[in-house]
Amino acid sequence: MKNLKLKAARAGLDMSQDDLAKAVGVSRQTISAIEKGDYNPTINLCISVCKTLGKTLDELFWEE
Amino acid sequence: MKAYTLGIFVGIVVGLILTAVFLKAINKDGKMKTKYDERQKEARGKAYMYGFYGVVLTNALFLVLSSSYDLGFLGLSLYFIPILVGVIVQVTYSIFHDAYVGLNNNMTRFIVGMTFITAFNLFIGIMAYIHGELFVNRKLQGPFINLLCGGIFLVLSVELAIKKLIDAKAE
Repeated sequence: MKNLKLKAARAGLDMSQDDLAKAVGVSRQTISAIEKGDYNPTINLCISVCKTLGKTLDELFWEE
Repeated sequence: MKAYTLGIFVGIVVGLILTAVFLKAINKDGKMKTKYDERQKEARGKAYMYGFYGVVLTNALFLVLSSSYDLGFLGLSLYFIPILVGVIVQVTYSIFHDAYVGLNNNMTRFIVGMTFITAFNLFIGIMAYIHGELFVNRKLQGPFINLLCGGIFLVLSVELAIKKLIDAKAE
């Protein structure tokens, strides 16, 4: 399932996939795969992404 | 024969030293270890698994073939071909799963290095062919392995270019 919340949060901060990837120490393709729903990140990476984007785990990764 | 064995040993040692220099040169941070993220590590794990199957299957194929045919003409290549098959499987899987180029790789230096290795191996192989040293006493000689390595690096370069095109379209 696509993670549109992550994409929206990233775009909200005017960050490209590459910017976010560099900030959390992964490749751009990994961020792209998370947004497309092709990859389930580890909790460590989720926390890293949340801290960088100033969001909580629930806000970005909880499916309703 | 002893000098030949020593030559191979020295060649392996020089190869290892050159690999270490190459790895240090292609990384932005000057470290020998290439960094990968968690998704890349997962993909590389699978790539090694498929590479291992490649080695086993090629060896099994040679075993079956050797019962019906004389594979002596392959010389040292008989031992290297399964390894090269494993490498090409591992690298191909890694390339198409974004796990070949590491986070700290400098792409320009990486491409220069790949081109140099390809050209170096092809040069040795082609020169041996020109001088008639590729197939001696009905046996493929050492430079044939260089030719194989050069060919493989060429294929891998093409794969990297294709992956780059795919990524550019996806962006």
